[in-house]
Amino acid sequence: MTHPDATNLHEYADGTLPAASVPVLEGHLEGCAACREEVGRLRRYLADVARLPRSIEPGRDLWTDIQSNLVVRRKRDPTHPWTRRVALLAAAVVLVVMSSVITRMVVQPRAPTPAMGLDRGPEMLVRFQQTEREYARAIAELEEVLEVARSRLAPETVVLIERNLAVIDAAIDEARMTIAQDSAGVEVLVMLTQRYEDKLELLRRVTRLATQS
Amino acid sequence: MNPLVSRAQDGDQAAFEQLYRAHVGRVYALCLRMTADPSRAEELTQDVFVRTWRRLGSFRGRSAFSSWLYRLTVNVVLGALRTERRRDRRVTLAADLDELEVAAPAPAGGTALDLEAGIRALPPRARTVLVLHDIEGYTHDEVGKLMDIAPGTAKAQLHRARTLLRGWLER
Repeated sequence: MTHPDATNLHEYADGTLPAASVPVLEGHLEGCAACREEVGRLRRYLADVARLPRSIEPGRDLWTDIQSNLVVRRKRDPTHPWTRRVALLAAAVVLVVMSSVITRMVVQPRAPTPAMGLDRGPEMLVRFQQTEREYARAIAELEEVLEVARSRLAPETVVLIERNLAVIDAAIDEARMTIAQDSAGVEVLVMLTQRYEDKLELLRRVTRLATQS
Repeated sequence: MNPLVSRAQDGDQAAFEQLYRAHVGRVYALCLRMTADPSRAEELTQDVFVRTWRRLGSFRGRSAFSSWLYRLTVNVVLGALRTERRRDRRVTLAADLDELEVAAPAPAGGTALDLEAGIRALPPRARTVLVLHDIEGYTHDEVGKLMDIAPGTAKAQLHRARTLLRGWLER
C-alpha cells in the first residue's frame, strides 16, 4: 500500500488540504489504520496546543523598567505620519514662497548693476530673512524626524549623509557670510536658496528612507 | 480607535500603562515561547513596549491595536534571534545551529506542562515556526514572510517541528 505524503496528513489534520485531495486521502484512511492513527495523533496534538494559555504573566512587574525608558513625547510626535506630512508640506510651502520671492526679485524691472543686490533696500533683506526662517523651521523639523529614525540606517549611510550635510552647511555659511558683508547680489540669494533646497531634499530623502526601513 | 491608544499617542503614560497591563501577558508568552528563556523573554517584553511607545505614532488604527502589537512583538523577537544566531555563528562557525541543539530532559507532569517543555526543547527555528503557526495562528505564507523564508519551507519546518515534539513527548 502506498501511503500519502506526511505533509498531506498534516494538512488534512489542519483542515488546509486542498478540497480536491480530500476524497482521495479519506479513501486511503478508510483502509489504512496506521495513517488513521497518525491523523488521530495530530488532531490530539492540535487540541492540546489549542488549550495552552495565550497569556503568561512575567515573573515580576516590568512596568517600572519600561517606564524609565519611555522618552517623554510631545503631543505631536515627529514620528507620526501626519506630523511628517506637515513637515514635508511646510517644506513644500517654503519652496513655493521662496520661488515667488526669487522670481519677484529677478523679474522686477531694474538696472543690471549692483543695485540688483541687497542694497536695493532693506525690505528685500527682511523678506528673505523671513523666508530663511521658514527654511530653518522646515529643516529643523526634518532633522528631528531623522534623529528619531537614524538608528534604523546603516552606519555607512549615516556617515555619507553627515558628509553631505557638512558640505551643504559650509556652502550655506559661506553665502550667509557674503550677505552679512553687504556684498551680496540676487545671485547670492539664489545660490543660498539652492543650498537650502539641497539640504531639504537630502533630509527628505533620508527621512523617507529611515522611516520606511 | 481605542481611546487608550489615542491618549497614549498623545503622550499619556498612564494610558500606556493600562495598555501594558492589558497586553503584557500575551506579549510575554509570545517572547517566552519563541526564546525558551524566561529572562530573555522579560528583556524582550520590555523592549517591545519601549518600541511600541516610540512607534505609537505610526499606528493608524487600520487593524486592532492588539494585532499590531503582537506582530511588532514577533518582529522584535525574530530580529533578536537573528542577531543572536549571527553572533553565535561567528563564535562557533557552525553551519546549522539547529543541528547542534541539545534537547532538554523531559519533565514529569501534566500534558500542558509537557507540551510547553517540549516546545522549549525544540531547535530555535522549528520552535519559532511552530509557535507562530500552531499557537499564534499565522498562516504558512505569513510565517514565511515574517521569517524571510518560502512558505513551503515554513510548512516543512512546521512538520519537522511537530514530529520532533511528538518524539520528545513520547520518549
